[in-house]
Amino acid sequence: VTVNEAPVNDTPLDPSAPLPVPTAARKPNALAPFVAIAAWLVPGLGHLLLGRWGRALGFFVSVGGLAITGYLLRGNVFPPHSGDPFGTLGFLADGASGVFYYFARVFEAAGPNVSRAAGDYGTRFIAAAGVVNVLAVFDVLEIASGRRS
Amino acid sequence: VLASFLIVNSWSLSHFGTLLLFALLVSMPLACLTQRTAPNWIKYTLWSFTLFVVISVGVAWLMYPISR
Repeated sequence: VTVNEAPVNDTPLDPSAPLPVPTAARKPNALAPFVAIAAWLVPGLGHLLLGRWGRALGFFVSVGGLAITGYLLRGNVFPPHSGDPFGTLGFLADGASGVFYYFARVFEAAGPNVSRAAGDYGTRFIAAAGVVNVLAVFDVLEIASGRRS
Repeated sequence: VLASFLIVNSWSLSHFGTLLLFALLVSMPLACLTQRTAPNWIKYTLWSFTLFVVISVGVAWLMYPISR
C-alpha cells in the first residue's frame, strides 16, 4: 500500500466530451528567469511579456500607486547599507519595487519625515509596494514554468 | 501613479483616506493573483477592500480605550 497514492477517478469517461488540449501555458518557458527579472525591474512587465496585459496593468498601477503615494507622504526609504538588520529588511522590501525604488529621488526630494503619522504611513506604503511586486514576480515564475495559467 | 500624485498633492489625505487608498491598492493585486476572470477580479477586489476597511475600523474601535 502506497501512502501517497493519487485518488482514483471512478467516473466513466464520456465519449462525447472533448479531449483535454495541452495549452501553451503548461509548457515550461526557458526564459522564465529573464521574465522574472523583467517583472522585478518594471512591475507588470513580466506579465506583459507573457501576454497577461490585464494583470500587468493591475500590478503596475498597484505597485506604482503604493510607491508614489508612499514617497509623497514622505515615508522612510531604506538605503542599501543601513548596518541594521531591520534596515536591511526594509531595504529588501523597498528595493523589491524595482525602478520605483529610484523614483524616491524624484518624488521625495525633501527626504522622509516620519515625525508625522503620514510619514509613517508612507513607510508602510513603500514597503507594501515591494511586497506586492515580489508576489507578482512569483506569479510570473509560476506562469512561465507552466504551473499556473 | 498619476492618480496617487493628484490625490496626495491636491487633497490633504486623512488617516481614513489613507486607509481607503491602501486597501484599494492592495486589494487589486490580490484579486489579480487569485482570480482569472474580469468579473471575479472586481468581486474579489470589492470583497477584499471591504474586509480591509471593516477589520481596520474594528481594530481601531478595540484599541480606542487604551488610546486615552
